[in-house]
Amino acid sequence: MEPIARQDDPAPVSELLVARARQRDARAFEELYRLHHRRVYALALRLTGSAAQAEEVTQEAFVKAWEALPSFRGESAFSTWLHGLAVHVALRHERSERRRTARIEAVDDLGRFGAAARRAIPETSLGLERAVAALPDGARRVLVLHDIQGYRHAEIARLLGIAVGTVKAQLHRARRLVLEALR
Amino acid sequence: MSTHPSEEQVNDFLDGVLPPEIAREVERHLEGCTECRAEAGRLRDLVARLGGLPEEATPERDLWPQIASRLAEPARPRRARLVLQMAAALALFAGGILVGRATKEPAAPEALRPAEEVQRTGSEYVAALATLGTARDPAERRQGREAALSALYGAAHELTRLDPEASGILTTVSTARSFEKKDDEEVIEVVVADPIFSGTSGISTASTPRPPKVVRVRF
Repeated sequence: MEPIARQDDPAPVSELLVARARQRDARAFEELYRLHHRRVYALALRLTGSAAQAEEVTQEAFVKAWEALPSFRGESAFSTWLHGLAVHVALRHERSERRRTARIEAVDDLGRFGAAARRAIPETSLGLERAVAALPDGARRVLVLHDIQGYRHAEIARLLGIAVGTVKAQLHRARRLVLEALR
Repeated sequence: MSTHPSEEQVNDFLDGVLPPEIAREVERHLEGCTECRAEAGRLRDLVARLGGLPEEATPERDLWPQIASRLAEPARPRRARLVLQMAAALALFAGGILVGRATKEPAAPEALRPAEEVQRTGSEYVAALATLGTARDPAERRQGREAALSALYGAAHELTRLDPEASGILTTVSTARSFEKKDDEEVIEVVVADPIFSGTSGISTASTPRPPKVVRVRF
């Protein structure tokens, strides 16, 4: 029995678009949005479990990307950089969501991964997505980042500001809970 | 491996993060133990399914128009919130309590701009505000608080300087309110009372307390 291989990184986007967007070419940035927003949205959807929140996170991520683009030096692929930025935004969004005293769930989002989320990823394995969405927050975050997005333990530890040991404990627990939910 | 591997070991084995000798032991055990092999197989299948989930999702509506409108204009509401935060920090700090948000919120780059607009010269308290936001351990936070104390009093000094009628005597900021988007400007109203400072050199006592004064600062 062999260990599991990591997911491959996505193909890098046109360097020309990025260069023009850095010069404040909004049309080039829109093109970048068209190319990348579905992956960002998928990440946001799984991290937050709600289509409404995922929309906010996606918008925030691209606005932040526009603001931070001058500091993007091209050392990593643009998609990698954008993805990392989106993770930060999603996590910060979750933290501020928790602080609000009253939360109004959108009607089409009853429970986690509701109708709107289903429409967003029609060909997915709904039972699995639901089981992931139902996880406790910490476990879900780690599972999404490690098993779905392909981040390593140390990267996740840094992103979440927790110890590597905690990342592994959360990950193993998350997997166990999902397996139980799917039985 | 005479006993069954732990849950942690099986997970780590599948993730390829076990030291080689231990990985070999686990592998040997799995080859000989039906129960553990079945469990590890379930785990492996789950992780494979998770990795195979669609990487893209389509939002219900086009999000670009809203993004585009936010690219066009500066984030005014956020600035007002940050200025209010700073003013609130001044108010509470004067009372000896550093408002929690000033230390817990990450120091976003845009946090520096309102402070820069308040002060005319100097960068000490801008830097102190930034440091406050990123301080992690108690000693760093204590240092940050002390730096921020002098820094924030400097900011309060600047606030009163902008009002020509203020004679430059630093006062304790007791309340702050923010008016957002008034005639395309942001106005923050700060009520100052009980002078305890004179100039920037330190604390001095005034002979008679001044009446409360309202200072309006435009951004």
